[in-house]
Order: sequence, then structure tokens, then C-alpha cells
Amino acid sequence: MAIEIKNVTYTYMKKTPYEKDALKNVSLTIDKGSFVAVAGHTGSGKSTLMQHLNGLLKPSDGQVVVDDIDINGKGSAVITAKRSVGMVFQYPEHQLFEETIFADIAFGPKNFGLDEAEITSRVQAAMEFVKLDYKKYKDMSPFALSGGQMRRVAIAGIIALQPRYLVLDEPTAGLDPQAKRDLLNNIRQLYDKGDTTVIMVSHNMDDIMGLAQRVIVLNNGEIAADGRPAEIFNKNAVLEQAGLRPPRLTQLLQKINDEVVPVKTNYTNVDAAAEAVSQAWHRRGKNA
Amino acid sequence: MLSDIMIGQFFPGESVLHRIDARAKILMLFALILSIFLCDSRADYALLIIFNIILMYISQIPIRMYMKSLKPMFWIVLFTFIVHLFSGEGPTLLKVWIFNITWSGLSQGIFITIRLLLLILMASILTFTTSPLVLTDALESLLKPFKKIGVPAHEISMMMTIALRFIPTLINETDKIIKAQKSRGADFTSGNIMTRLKCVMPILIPLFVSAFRRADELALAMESRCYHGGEGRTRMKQMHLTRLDGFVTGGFIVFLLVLIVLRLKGM
Repeated sequence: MAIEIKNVTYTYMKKTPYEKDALKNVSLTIDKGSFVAVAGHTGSGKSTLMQHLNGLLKPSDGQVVVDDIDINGKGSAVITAKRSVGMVFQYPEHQLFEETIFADIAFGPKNFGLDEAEITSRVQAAMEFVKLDYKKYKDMSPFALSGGQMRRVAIAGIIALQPRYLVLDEPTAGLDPQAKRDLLNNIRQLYDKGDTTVIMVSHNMDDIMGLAQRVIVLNNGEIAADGRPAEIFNKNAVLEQAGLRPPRLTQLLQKINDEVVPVKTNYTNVDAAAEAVSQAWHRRGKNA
Repeated sequence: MLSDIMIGQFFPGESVLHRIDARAKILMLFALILSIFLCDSRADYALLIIFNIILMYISQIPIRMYMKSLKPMFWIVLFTFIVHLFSGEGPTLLKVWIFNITWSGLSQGIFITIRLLLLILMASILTFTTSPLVLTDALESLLKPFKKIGVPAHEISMMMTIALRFIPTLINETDKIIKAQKSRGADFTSGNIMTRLKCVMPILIPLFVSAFRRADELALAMESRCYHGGEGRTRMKQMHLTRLDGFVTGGFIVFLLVLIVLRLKGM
């Protein structure tokens, strides 16, 4: 069970002077149960790639296979496969439209043809998940909320679909630090429950650190690097070429390693890194 | 899907048509449109079609793009053709149920179709070869003399500039919202008219919300840069008439004269 992207090429504005390859022969397998981060700067093709995962964009060339079903094929299995991929767009709060928060979150489940009782319980669970009090908020207009709260409603709208694969495109863009931390914690909790594979697009390595088990770096429509975070974060040259920087923790460790004492730079946890630095410091003291 | 819309589409290039002054282009287009409505003989039409094809060739824009610009008008053109087909007088050529198709109807229909197609193509030649910004600047410059009789030339062109500027933005936005709602299981392609109309709401409401937000932000941004209308405003790109403009306009006037002579001879 996995999402397999096989030799996918996607060309924008085909056959016009503006023609551009957004993805160039990309192949990738996202295993079920993993937490994958996709990083790249603006225009690297990450959003385009994400939109292939539930069939919103059809590859100009190549195949996208979700749980052994080619999602650009035909038949009812295809719809089920597409629906198993939930998609949270950039600035998802811009898609809210209903009169009440309840109705907006229920929009997706309703379209999926679920019955009333199931819809209510799913909306309740989704609101609880994003920490919005059900009784207090369900009858409020989504447009009366703050930006951060609106985003939580929009994300709840996707959570209520109970996707097996959850794709988040820059979920923390434009949020204040507190809202950002809350949202990332939420995503982690969802992942830890174990039924959801999470694919998160971000150009912020600090967000990715400590969450993802695998980082894929896109540059110019091609995969520039793919591996474990600790490994990717230390590929400074590759990251720089892709318009990215290592997380601040890695930058700090690299600087300590280069200029103060030798220390491993592949920590993704602040406490472990601090411990390692302090040990290295003490060792230096003894040797001197 | 939405990116197929060709309205106001501009294709950068270096052709003669790209280089001549936009004001001259607008006036020539205007004269051409008038001449389309003046012609009524086969020779007139032949001349206009040939002229049009030459212009399209000079523009160095793939013919496919012109065909694409005709596509959204297909049904309107077809409808007009059919209306004319059945409304002619004279001896009957073919009888369909209670309708008569006559020779005059048929030729009327064909002529009208050619007229419409020429109109669209000529407008496309203008918009394909002129960037929207230059176009609105030219319009403002042309409307300036009418300021004295109260035509708000600057405001009109500013409004057009803003509108044109936001077409791609709104198309992108619509595209994104459609995709977002599709991801939530919305289906825009099946069901009867009522259910389809209902399906539009999840797109329209977010679109309106964002359009108003953008308008608000733009107004603030303009105000904070001291925008106060057209009075005393200067331009970064001044428009100058060149020798090329003289040449092209001269050639164009010759063409119009030929058309007028043809027409007078025909009378």
C-alpha cells in the first residue's frame, strides 16, 4: 500500500510560447504510514506534484498509482482511490463558503454520500481535533473567525473526510508562531494515531525537522535529494542549489563543529543536540 | 481548463505589428471594423479576408492561437448563421419542417459568419500583439481630447488596467478554489441544472470574498503610495510615433481607399 509516482512529467500551458515543464520525469514512492516532507523553493514544482496525488492534475506523461490503482484510469475504484487522498491547499481558509462552521466542515462528508449521523460525528471529531469547541463554534459563521481559526476550520473540513493520505501544502504559511506550533502539534498527533500517512509541503526546514521521517527536495521539477532528515539537512550544497537552507539547529551545530569543537551535526532534536555539544565541550576540557 | 481562456492574452514578440504604436493600432482596428460593416460584395469580403490573413501572418503568432480565440464564440456564430439561414426571402432552396432555406438566406448567413469571424480575429490581432498595459495607456491617450466634455479618460483606463491585471489572478484563484472543492468531493460535471447551479456557490462565495479582500488591499496600497487620480501624473514609458508607424498607417490608408473605390464602383 503506497502512492507511487512513476515517471511523471507535467507541462504547463502546452503548445504556447509560455510552455514550461513543471515536473520532469519524477519517480517516487510514498509508503503507507510514513511522514514525508517535500521541500523546495517557489516554482520548484512541489505544489504541482501534490496536485497529481489525487488526480487534480493529470500527468502529461507517466502514471500516478494510489494503493495499486491508477488514479487517472476509469471505474469506481478510481474514485475511492482519489478520495483516500485528502488535500489541504495553501491558505485553505480561502475555500470556506458556508453559513456555519458545521455546514462547511460537513461539505466534504456530504459530497461523499455519508449519512447524517456519521456526518455529525465526523464533524464533531474533526472540530475536536483542531481544538475548536463544538458547541461554541458549530453555528457561527466561518467568516467571523480570525485567520488562524479559519484555517483550522478548513483543515477540519479535510480531516472529516478521514483520508488515508493527508497532503498539506504549506500548512503554516502566514500563521503566528503560537498558531503554527499548535497546528504542527495537531498534525503530529494525527500521524501518531497511526492511520494516516502525512505528506507535508514546506520550504521551512525548521517545521520539517522533528516531524518528518523522510525529506524530498525538489528543484526545477526534479528530485534533488531524498532521504532521512538528518542526512538531507547536512547536504548544504544541494540545499543551497535548491534555494533552501538547513534548519537553524543544523546550522548552529555545523558552526560549532567547524569553529569550536568537533560534534555530530545530524541531530534533529534540540535536547539531544545540547547534550552532545555539552559532552563534546567537556571532553575538550579534559583533553586540554 | 480555465487557462484556455484567451481574452486579453498577449504574446510577446518582435513583429512589425508588435512594434507599431498602440494608438495607431487601435485607430486602425476601429477603421477596419467600420469597413467590415460597410462591405457587402464578394470582392470586398475577399479583400478583407486576404488583408486579415496577411496581418495574422505578419504578427508571427501561431495560427492555432487565433483558432483558439474563435472557440468561445463558436455557438454565437452558429446561432447567428442559423437565424439568417432561415430568414431570407425569395425562392426556396430547401424546406425543413416549417422553415424555408433560401439562396439569399444562405448567402446572408455566410456573410454574417465571415463578418463575425473577421471581427473576432481582428480584435485578437490587436490584443495578441499589444500588452494590456500599453493598450490601456493608448486608450487613455486617445480619450484625452474628450476630457473637455467630461469623459473621465484617466479613470476609465485605470479601471481597465486594474481589471485586466486581475483577470489572470482571478482565473488562478478560481482554478484553486475549484480544485479545493473538488478535493472535498464536489462534483461540477453531473446532475441537472438546479444541482449544478448549487454547485457554483462553493466557488462563487470564496471568489467574491477574495475579490473584495483584494480590492480593499489594492485601494490601501494605492492610497499609501499617494495615488490621487490622473492629474499631473507622468509615465515611465512615453509613447512616441516613429517612422514605422507612419509607414504602416500610410499603407493602411491606401488599403482603405482601395476598399472605398471598390465600393463606389459597385454602386
